Amino acid sequence: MKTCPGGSCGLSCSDGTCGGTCPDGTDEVRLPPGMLSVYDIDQEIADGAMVFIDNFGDERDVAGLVEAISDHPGQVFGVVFGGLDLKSEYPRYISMGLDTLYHVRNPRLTEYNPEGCAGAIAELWERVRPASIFFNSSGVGRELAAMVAGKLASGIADGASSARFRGRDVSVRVGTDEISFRGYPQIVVWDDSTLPNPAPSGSKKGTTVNRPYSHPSEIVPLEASDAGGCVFVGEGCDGRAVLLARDFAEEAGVGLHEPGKLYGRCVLVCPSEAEYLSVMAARKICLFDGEPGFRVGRSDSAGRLSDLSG
Amino acid sequence: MDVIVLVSFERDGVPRIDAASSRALDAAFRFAEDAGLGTVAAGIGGMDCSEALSMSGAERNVLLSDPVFEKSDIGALARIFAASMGGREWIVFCGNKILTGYLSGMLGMPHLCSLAAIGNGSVGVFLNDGFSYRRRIDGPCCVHVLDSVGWPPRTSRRKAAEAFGSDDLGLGRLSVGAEGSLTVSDPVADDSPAKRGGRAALLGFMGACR
Repeated sequence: MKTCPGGSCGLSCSDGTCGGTCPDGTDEVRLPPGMLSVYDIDQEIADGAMVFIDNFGDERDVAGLVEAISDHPGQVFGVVFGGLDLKSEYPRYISMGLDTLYHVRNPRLTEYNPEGCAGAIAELWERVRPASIFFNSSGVGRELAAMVAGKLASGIADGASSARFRGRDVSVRVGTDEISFRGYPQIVVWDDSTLPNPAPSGSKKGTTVNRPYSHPSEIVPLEASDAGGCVFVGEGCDGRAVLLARDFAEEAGVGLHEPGKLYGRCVLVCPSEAEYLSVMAARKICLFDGEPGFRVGRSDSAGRLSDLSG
Repeated sequence: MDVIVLVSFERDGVPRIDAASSRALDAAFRFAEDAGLGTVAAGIGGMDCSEALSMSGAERNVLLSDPVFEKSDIGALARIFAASMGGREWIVFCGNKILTGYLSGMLGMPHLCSLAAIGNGSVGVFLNDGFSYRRRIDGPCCVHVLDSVGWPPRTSRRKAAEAFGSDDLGLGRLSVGAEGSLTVSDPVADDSPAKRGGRAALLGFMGACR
């Protein structure tokens, strides 16, 4: 960062290109007017607010949530999970009032996974450090809010219906109480039924940041004793194989993974690397390449697992 | 590894275990019986909650009672429960999603949200926002029990509650209670005309009594 050559006015510029003039007449470089007051970067916590965009299942009202906190003094950061197909949705998210959209891209996080998503949000907060994080009151929103609060050892208010800002500090109305916070981040779950219904702003400009996230899930080799606890159904399996797998899962009382329907954690085997990358929650993962038309059966699985564990 | 159920109380009149905790107890005992695990019910409250907790049906009841625990927020409650769990491995059942989520994030344990049924082999069926999934509950984790599902009622059993305070748990005043909470809750003054009128009338009545 360059500073005033004369050293008399204390103004600064990030790249030296703005070419302003010091009040004392010497040449200097400085930030555009008002920029320092907008971007007060000399602080541990930023003025901004982060908003979780719940696009798992039916998308929740992000625009209403952003509108509900429109009195806050800083930028609004959105965080959303998804694969490459989410790119076409960037303008729509920005039009909801976001200044910056963080698209957390990890092939393993394209399906909802509580630990993975909470870890990603907590990690993003550590990097951006906005003063508050707002969640919808969906089942997913409330679960993630609580887990993120636990990870970051911060306060949480559940069921807010209005907010009041004093600088970056927020206090929210929950029932007949007003909840304020000690420390950051201030985590708020907003009661969806009380959200306003604003029109999207087509002229809103914002920035999108792709944020790769590597979840530290441990991949443990399968053991022979796990053979009875695995069901695998991949892209290459036909309908009959899927039915067989369902029966197997039902009988064995284990989790079942079908393409596009994975949720939660189950012990499974993925028949292709692509499938494997879509899975982050398995307690034990083993992969091998499945062929189109691959047939699933108890003896197949036991045999395969036995081979793999060796 | 055993099962611990985090219990809260309704305090209108004589304290009693609240409905969500009661369902969590039913689900936990059903699970523990199938899995052959021991059961502990833990609740935070005054000594007057002891009788209600003793009827939880658990093999052991633990009342976490200390004046410094009063006005604890969710984070402080999670710290108290975590301290009561010591360093042991537990499968935690609770009817409060925010509490199980917080505890799960704090302790780095998996969070299994919205348990709706338990099948053979300790496999839980979970429903969250339209997602449904099955998961075998076979390791330390926090299980939130869905509050809209009925469970077979648990066996009635009376077991006196053991009481533990902040000193027993090694918790200082600054980590729990009002001082240790990261949120501050204040009642909102109701300034509706009806309320103002009622307050004025009350003040007038009190003045007349002096």
